[in-house]
Amino acid sequence: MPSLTIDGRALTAGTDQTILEAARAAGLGIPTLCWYPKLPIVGNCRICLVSVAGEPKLLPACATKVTDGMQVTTESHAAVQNRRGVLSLLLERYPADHLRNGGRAEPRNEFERYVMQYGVVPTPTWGRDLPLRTGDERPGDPMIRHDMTTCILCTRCVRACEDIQVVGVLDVGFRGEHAEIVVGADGDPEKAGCTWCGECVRVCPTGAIFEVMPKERFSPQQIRHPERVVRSVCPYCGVGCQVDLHVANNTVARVTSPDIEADTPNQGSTCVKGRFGYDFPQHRDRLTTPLIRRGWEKEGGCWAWKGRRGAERRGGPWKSIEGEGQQTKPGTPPRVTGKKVRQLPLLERIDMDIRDRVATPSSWYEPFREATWDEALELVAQELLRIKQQRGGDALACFSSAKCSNEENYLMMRMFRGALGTNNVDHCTRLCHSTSVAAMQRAINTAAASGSMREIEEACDVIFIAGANTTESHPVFGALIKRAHEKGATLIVADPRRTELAGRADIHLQMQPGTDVALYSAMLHHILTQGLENKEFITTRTHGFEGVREAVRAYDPDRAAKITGVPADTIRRAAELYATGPNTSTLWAMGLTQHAMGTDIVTSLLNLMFACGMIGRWGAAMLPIRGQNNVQGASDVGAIPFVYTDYQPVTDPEVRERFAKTWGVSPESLSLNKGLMVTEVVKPESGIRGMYIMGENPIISDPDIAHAEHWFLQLEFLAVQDLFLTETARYADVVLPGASFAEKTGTFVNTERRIQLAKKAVDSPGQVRGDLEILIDLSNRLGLNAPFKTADDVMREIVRVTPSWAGVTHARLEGAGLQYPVPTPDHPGTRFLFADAFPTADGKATFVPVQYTDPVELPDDAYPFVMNTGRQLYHWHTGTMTRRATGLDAREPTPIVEIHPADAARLGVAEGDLVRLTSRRNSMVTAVRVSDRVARGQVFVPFHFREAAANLLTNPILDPYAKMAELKICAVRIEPVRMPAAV
Amino acid sequence: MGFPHTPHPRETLVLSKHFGDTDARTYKGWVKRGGYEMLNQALAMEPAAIIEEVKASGLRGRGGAGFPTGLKWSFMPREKKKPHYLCVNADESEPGTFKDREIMRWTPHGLLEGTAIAAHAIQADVTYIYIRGEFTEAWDIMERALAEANAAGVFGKIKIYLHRGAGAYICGEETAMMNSIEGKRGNPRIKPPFPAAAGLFGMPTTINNVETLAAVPLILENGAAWYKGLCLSNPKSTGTKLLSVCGHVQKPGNYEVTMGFPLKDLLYDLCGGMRPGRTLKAVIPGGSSVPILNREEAESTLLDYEGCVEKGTMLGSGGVIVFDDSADLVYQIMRLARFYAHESCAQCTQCREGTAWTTKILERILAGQGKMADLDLLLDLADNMTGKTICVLSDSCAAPVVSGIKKFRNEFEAYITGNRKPVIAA
Ligand SMILES: Cc1cc2nc3c(=O)[nH]c(=O)nc-3n(C[C@H](O)[C@H](O)[C@H](O)COP(=O)(O)O)c2cc1C
Ligand code: SF4
Ligand code: SF4
Ligand code: FES
Repeated sequence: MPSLTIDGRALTAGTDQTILEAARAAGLGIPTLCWYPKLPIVGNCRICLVSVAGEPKLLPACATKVTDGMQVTTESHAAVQNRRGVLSLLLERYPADHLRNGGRAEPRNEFERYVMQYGVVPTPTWGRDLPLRTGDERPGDPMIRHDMTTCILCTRCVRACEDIQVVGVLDVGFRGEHAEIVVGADGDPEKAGCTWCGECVRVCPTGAIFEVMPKERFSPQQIRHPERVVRSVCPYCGVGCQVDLHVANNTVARVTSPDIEADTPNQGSTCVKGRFGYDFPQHRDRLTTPLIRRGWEKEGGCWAWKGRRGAERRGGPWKSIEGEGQQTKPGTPPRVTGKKVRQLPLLERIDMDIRDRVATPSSWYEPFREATWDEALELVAQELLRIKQQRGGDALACFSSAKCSNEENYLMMRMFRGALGTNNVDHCTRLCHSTSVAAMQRAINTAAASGSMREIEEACDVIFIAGANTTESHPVFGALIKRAHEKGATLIVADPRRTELAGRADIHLQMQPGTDVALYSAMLHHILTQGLENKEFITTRTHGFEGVREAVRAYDPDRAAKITGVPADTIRRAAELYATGPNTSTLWAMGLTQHAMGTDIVTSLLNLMFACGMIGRWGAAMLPIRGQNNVQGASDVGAIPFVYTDYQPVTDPEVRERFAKTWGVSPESLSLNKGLMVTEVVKPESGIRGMYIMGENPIISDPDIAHAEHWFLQLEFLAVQDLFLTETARYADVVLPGASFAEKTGTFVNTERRIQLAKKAVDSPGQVRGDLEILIDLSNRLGLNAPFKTADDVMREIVRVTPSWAGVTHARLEGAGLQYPVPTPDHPGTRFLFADAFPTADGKATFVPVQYTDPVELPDDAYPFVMNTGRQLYHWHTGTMTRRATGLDAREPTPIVEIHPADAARLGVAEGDLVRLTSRRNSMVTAVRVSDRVARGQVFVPFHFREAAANLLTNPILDPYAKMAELKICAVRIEPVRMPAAV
Repeated sequence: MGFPHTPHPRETLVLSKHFGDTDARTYKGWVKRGGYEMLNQALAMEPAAIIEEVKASGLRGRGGAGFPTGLKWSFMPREKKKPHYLCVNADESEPGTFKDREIMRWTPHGLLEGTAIAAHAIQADVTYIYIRGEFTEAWDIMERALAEANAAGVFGKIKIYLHRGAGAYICGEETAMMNSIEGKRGNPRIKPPFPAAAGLFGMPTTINNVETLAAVPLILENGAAWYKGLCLSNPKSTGTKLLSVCGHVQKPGNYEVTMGFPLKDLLYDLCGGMRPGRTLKAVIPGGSSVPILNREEAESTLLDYEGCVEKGTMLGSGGVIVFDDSADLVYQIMRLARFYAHESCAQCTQCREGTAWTTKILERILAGQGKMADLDLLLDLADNMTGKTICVLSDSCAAPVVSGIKKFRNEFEAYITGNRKPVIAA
């Protein structure tokens, strides 16, 4: 280890460290502008030059490696002169008149702080030889804009975009004094592939690249000096990015990401939703008081329904989702960026404010009246208890929420099990990874990822991704995968769509939708014929391999090529790469799971993984990528129908005994029968008469919406707890206004089992109450003692009944959080699992042979297209939040269907034209987006849009094990809709 | 030989022996003149032996820096673990320099032969010859020659590719060139790592100038001692140097002389002296990037690396720019600064802003709007721009400014005080 002195202080440093790193480690500061942690070192600003004894020139501290015996002086006369020189040169093209104010000037950013520190006085702007700097400006952009006069060309933004996000939108254009930051080739971020992640905003040292929304809504003072900055967890996907909420005026004014060097799942990044999707809680649609459907009246201390009966009981002045689907609607408006606003024709300019199109129509409130909390909760408690009494607890069901915290989910399931005696507790995991859970439980008795996200970047050689559009659905993880790929990992993507990752993959297995089992079986077939399987792993760590060997015998790559459409040689090459790793990680998401044979599909992938022994090492991870920010946690704390916390079965009397004791109820009051799952509940034969829904919107997210919507109409009682009057909430008897993510404290579990703490940043508007508070109150009203005040209190009970969380406390979750299992208070958490054994009785994994069957609904002459559904980058699920987030909605304001250019040409439709999509169940009208991301004969419909809800068309047939619906495949027909000439 | 002039008896024709002889351009013609024999011999030699021979010859890089070529080659890993690359710098864009162009125009096979020998010496699998984009004629000739030589199979397993520059001076800087070949923006890289450790595509790489490599076959042919013997002054500067003379002389052109040749004789003898009635005012001896010499200094300079340094300048690329008493040095210096401002890759603060600002101030002075304080500002800027940047383009811009103000201050002052009429519009 080299020892050196910096400003006379003796230090030892790592061999590969730079002078700057050594100085930083010793707490010594050296000014830097172009340097930024983790970005490639370019050494171009030249402000960090320092004197080194024996060197004729000043050396860049950021780029010079330490050597033994080095003597560094950071503030030598020459170094300081140089710094002043650099700063004054930069100031020559920077609007700096406000800094001529001597000691009274307030530096506005990192760069100006150095200017003040070194006492450089800028020349007045009027007397200068050089003009202010220019650059591409992103005019009209809803989220990110540039003021390039303040750019100092440090190129941090360029490198952040290129090397952290691996997108490459920004670059330096031109030479010499004309050099400037350019956006793509022609200033259009859209064409350049911008994802609006805002990494450039984060790294810019001068604010030349800035967020639009805070600047439009708050004063510079409020932005520069927020009232407080609170660490929270992003409310969107399962990556679980930590974010810092900046508060001004009791609202979230701005979101930033934690330090890039801090130990967070996002390592300092966020995606567009995390950074810009924060303003939905402030939307004017926000519910601020409880609502009770008109018709409920109180009589003699009891609530009674006096309103209309029959079909009209839950009616209102709205169109059904089915009805809205049929309606013609405006085609896709032009995306506003790229063109200068002034260049837009007048009509388009007016069209730019599209927000009102999706906001809750005011007529939706008509069937309701405002109520007090007491009234509302009293009515809910009365009706739930009445139905329990009259029809038994199993006539009740609740949808808990993967958007809510662990504590809230725990309270919800505690309430339904403890007070109402039913296991009908489920949440949207059913439409997410339920098939993965079923398959993983069958094989290794577990339900979570084995590894961590960052091992993909640190230790993985081959990344195998199946059915996951990571760069859109989990963008921060997607960027990490791209970085890993850039660093040399091999990327194999199995996906019918040519997603971004598929486009850059070394091998893209573009199979026919739903033919996964054939594909993975063929890969295993080839691996076995080549003898590439991990024989030792198979013998020592698994059983049942012979059955699988038998089962895959029929799938030689040539036959699989016919089924899947992937050339046999490609299958072979992928198989060899997968098997020879040395470290292969296996990632998958909805593309695999949302099938009626999803459990089998995941099983066949698991078989492949076990046969090659690609699990249980750092770098060989099994990563089902979870969708919602707390879908893992909601399951972990028992918001699923067959288990309590930690996956302890409800059917086990001993387990029941324990929970009964903890909750202070008699064991008999807890049901030993497995409850109904989400997809089973919304069926006429389920027998459910009363429902409580927290933060979910099944009317948009469930398959075959027309039937689902109808089903909800026949309920005796429906309570919905949500931020807005959603499509589901409009049918409710009671609507309880809940708190948004920024308004509460709680814990969330991300896709890599990391339990994280999100803290309350702002107060809720109006009479809104925290979900925790609502559930505590309601529990008590239902007769189940809930002796809690805070989320911390609830967590203390959770860890008592959750062995793998036993060592968790809110205090320990500060910072990085903990990856469970955390069995003891001093356990550091677990980065990866299954190094030696699986959590099965004998510690071994079980192979389960599976056979390929055709998807239930194949295209035919009447319905010639295969429709796939999924998510877009800018939207989240049923759009409740994102369609009310200004920036996000401006990017993707209207529903679309992606069609391959050749198909579009054949149908005679162009970008923006309306088409009618018809499946065997229903039809709807939406606008065309021509895109070669979908293969010919396939179309993709995002499911975020009420006006053209993809799930009107989907097939409600269920996976036999996990009761997952066939959301990814249904056959449709497409016809152009000729609009009547515009008036 | 100063083609199109006939050779002067005081020249030493080594590299330029065949200039003007179209037959030497062809493969057949080259072989007839003994070409490619040295390559055949070299391919049979141990790489280390070639390096030793080149070291012993004292050959130094002709691209500007004058770094000993054999030593540079010896930095390449002896034991080859990764692919090695050789880049040939034929981007000759330095104002006043046009020697590499002539080498490529007249003796393309000589360059190819030297290139292949060097590639063998440093164990490079692949070689790129990066040719300045504007050299269309040289490009065609090189392309034809390479095709012929490839058809004859002379290079063994060494692969040579031509790569066309796109008009950026900075791509002549070695690391910028590597970026450019890689398809990136031609920005110089920070060193270390030096190219021999991590160069083109991150692999060990050597970069040499055209003139440097063209000398290699001759060194092998005639022996290191012969080359070392070509020396008129300091024994650290050996061999011959092609000098591209331009400006106010009777016979501008390329002249090949032995190292240590007096500048005075070059100007007054070989180049035929000043135009009638004119006297020498100043000389920039090494391409545009080096300090200016006044008449007394110029007339006493010996043209080799040390001789130039002794006079406070550098031999650089050997582009000799001559100004007689009719020249307006303020204007000339502004033109040089403008060139550098235009060509700066714009990474380094000092270079990007400094070159532009320097130009603007000089323009202002020439427009009659200068202030006396501007001269101090210029010197201050030049100080900021010297020795602090990633590559030396920034220094190159400062050098003529500083030496110009030091040696011809009165010319600047004349514009500032109004004794001289503005020559450009404000
Ligand atoms: C701004 C700049 C431009 C340069 N342009 C050239 C050039 O056009 N041709 C050249 O041979 N060397 C040029 N060089 C020098 C090269 O960087 C490098 O030193 C040379 O090619 C090495 O070859 P040599 O050792 O054979 O001289 C330039 C250097 C700088 C800093
Ligand atoms: S926009 Fe900001 S980050 Fe980008 S180069 Fe300019 S100052 Fe640096
Ligand atoms: S000195 Fe100038 S040309 Fe050289 S790297 Fe820096 S900015 Fe580029
Ligand atoms: S911080 Fe070192 S050169 Fe910019």
